[in-house]
Amino acid sequence: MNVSLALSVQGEAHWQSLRYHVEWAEGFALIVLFSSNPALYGLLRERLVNIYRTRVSHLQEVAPRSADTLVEEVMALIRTPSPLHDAAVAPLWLDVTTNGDAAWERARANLVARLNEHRELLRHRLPRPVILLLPAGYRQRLRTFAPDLWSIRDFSLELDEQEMLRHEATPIGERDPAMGIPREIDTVSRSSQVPTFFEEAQWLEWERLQQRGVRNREMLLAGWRAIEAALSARQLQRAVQIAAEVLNIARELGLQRETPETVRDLSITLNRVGATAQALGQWAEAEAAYRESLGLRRQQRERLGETPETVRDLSIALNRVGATAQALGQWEDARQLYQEALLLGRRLALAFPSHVEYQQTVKRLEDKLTELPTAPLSTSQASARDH
Amino acid sequence: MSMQHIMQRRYVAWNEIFTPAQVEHMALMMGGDLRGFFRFAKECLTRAATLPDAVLPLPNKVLQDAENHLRRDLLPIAAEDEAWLRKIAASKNPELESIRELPRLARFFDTSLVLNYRNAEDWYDVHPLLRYGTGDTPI
Repeated sequence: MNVSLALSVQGEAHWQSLRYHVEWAEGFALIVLFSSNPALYGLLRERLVNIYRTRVSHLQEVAPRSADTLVEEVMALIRTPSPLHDAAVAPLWLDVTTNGDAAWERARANLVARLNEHRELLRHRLPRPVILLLPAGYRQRLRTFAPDLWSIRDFSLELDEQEMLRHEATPIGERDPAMGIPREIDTVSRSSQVPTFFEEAQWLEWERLQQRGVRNREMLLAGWRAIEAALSARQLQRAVQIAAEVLNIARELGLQRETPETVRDLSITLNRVGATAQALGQWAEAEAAYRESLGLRRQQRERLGETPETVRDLSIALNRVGATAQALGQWEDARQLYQEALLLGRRLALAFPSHVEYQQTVKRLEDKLTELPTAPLSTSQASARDH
Repeated sequence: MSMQHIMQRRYVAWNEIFTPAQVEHMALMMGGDLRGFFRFAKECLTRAATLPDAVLPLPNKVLQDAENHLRRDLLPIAAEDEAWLRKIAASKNPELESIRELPRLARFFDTSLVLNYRNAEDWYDVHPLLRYGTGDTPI
């Protein structure tokens, strides 16, 4: 599996919130993060380091590693003035996530209790942002055992891996087609058609859930993975069958309760249906599914306003319909769709300059537009292209 | 002094960013807690700053997202706490059945799960973020 560590759209939004809370602080600001995933919080820390690298101040990092000296080390840090850091409003990154034995747990609890007791000292001696990093799931304990400290927080965030990270191979979110075909579903260049263990596991899980007779969102998620695994393994009939059933479920769930989530799920499912038809060379069917998805995403933007998610979703849908129009030789349609996608892509790239995917999407869309012929294909050319 | 006046003292042009109804809503959802109110406002501002196109006054969706984020700070709630909180929400009294339960009640106050209001006579209620949740909140 090709799994790379990158933030999802939601993860980027959380990062931006964190960043603004840190950057906008004019004095003490307590920011509490909860995570036990060093790679995930390391990514956020790295971004902060990069931002502050270009400034007079820098990110001060403290990560005590001994349970015996934890409390004293942190309290000494608070008690000892650091005029340079204070004057520059340099953020303090205080990492107390060490996953150790019972002694560590006690030391961490003691530290939290001491900070609670000395919250005024903390507030006055550290006139700059303090990012306190605690293990995942520690929020309730902090709230209960350090209520005074908790009450002066500016921002807190549980860093949920599923929500914040974008796994390239996980089809829960969606890959922008402008980014090209992911390696794991590149059905043309794949040399072997023997399913991998992972692929087989995806449709076995789908079948297991089907036997349970449950028709809920869990089924949708399993279905999306199973479709992608079937496409990847070139088991196209299997993909068609699963896609049809997943589409039924998505429509049912939407009818039962129309919420932004069920509408989005239906649009994602339609894109899976479109991808399946596309893999079979059925461009007209693919276009119908992609166009329905596009309609839903336009509705979502109307209903929810412009959020990073609605803009990105719409851009993806435009891209997909644009690609089918291009494949069908409808170049003027393709041009308009790509141009609209490009407009949205540029806004995302501007709003999230550190998100490489958005920059690459813009580049690829610009390339696509440049490569589009100006005159439409003749009917025979278009027909030839269908096959 | 209303929250709008307090906002005015902090930032004169506040009503370019929030509508009076939104300020009222933030005040109600924070149960009148000043620190919570400004945390809510700041959360809205940082979220708005991440939007591709800034629109003022802020769309209600920004407030909803910020509210959901702040609600998560109060969750999860243990089942036995939930039962007690439901009683408080219904009667507006502390519902302290035994003095041995006092530490638990104190914890509710410490963690702002229950707020004590003092207009005319004392009364109690669970935090408005829990009372007026959007479907997945327990109280």
